[in-house]
Amino acid sequence: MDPITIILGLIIAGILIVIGVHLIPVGGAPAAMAMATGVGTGTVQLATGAGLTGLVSAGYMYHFANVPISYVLLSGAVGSMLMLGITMLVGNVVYIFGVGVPPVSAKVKFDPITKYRQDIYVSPGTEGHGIPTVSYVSGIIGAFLGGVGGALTYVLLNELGISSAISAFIAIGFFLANAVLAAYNIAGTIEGFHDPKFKRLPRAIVSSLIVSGFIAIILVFATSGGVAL
Amino acid sequence: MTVSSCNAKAEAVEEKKISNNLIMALGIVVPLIGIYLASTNSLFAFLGGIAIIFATLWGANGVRTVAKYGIGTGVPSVGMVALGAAVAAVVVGIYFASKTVLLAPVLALIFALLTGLLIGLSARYILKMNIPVMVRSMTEICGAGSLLILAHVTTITGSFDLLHLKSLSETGIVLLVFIIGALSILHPYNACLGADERQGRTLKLSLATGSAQVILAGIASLYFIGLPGMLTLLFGALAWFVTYSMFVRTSFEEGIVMNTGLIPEVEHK
Repeated sequence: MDPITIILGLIIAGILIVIGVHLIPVGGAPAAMAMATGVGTGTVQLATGAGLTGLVSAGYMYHFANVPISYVLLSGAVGSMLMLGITMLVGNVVYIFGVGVPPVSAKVKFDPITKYRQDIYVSPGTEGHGIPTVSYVSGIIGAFLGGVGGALTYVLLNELGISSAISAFIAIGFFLANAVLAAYNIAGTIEGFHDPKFKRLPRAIVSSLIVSGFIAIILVFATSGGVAL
Repeated sequence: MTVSSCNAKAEAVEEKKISNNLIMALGIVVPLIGIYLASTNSLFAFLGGIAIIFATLWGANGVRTVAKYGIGTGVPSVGMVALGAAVAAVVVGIYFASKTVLLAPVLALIFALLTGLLIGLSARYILKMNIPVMVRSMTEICGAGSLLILAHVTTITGSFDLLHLKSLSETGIVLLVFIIGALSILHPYNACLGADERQGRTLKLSLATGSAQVILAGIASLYFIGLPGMLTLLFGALAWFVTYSMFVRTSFEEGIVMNTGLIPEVEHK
């Protein structure tokens, strides 16, 4: 693959990761106490969990199955979606049967997907709890994009001629750097695409463009062998 | 202990703040020297342990500086970005220095600082995070992350060239490096944060987490460099014992039970 394609591909991967992280319902510390909608952990932890699972499934497909690259990307996406889906499902089981709260969003009056009324189920003093349908769907879409982004990074780094183990290492770092940029943009909690904070997405895309672009350019320069000190 | 003496003590303690510039100087010079010395002979690999400890110290101080502002995403995300952004820089540095291997740590540090600078600038001016120290701290954290990875690679394999990085990656030990590195940079502030967080105490804990990494690096290095790895292991264990007991002693000294009068005296008996 020629270097320009790889640089562009890495930038696209970075942007996919950033969009994906914005779609994942993250509740942070308040959600751990069932006081905010989303999974009760930080953005980076959730995104990393999903991204790494995607990397494992994509890596397996890339090296052991003789399939086109699009299948590799899709299998990365499926790995991420499975991981995040299970996380949100188990989270919901704990919220519903353990804590005893209904999954509800505080940001919208009616769930955009099920059209169920939301505001009357929000406990006073909280910002929703659990993972309602719209957040769940949003999270699955986010995991899909994040998984494709992570798998694309891994595949492109392999095409660049970096050994597969080091590629995985860099792909994790690349994923984390972009996930953190998205996390800074979200600043705490987000419910999914229906959250007002989702409108901040363009800023994160621009910053991801800069950071991913820089990392991609230095990686391509270093590994092309043209410059060796 | 009376309230006034507590305040007096708190003020006396507050005066001893170590400047960020000094820590940055220590965090650049000591790890670089440690990495170079450790790469000369596998018997000196334990000197890479000193590099690990000081790189952790620098990173933890950076995390402390930026996370004090309450960035809303949790301290772990700051620590993870240190290693995340530094990984590419380390690999790039090692690839660029394929002819003059000795340049690799310096190049890796420079590229990591640049990546960190870009992340800091975009967080400050594009994502509009209103934190004045963001740019400097992100730059420092990423630099510390790159030195930490290189120090681990050198301590475990005895060298920092591409061949050794490859063998470290293929055994999967690089994942251990990644996670323990990120954890020990983020843990000190994450554990100590609160109203009475003090730089001295947090940094003592960062020395302890740094030494704990040396123990793990020592165990991993037994596979690569054989018996000299025991030296790293023993050095790490000794350093961990000394630094962690320092931290525990400080915690006991600074932890004060004060009767505020809210709880009835009867319940204490």
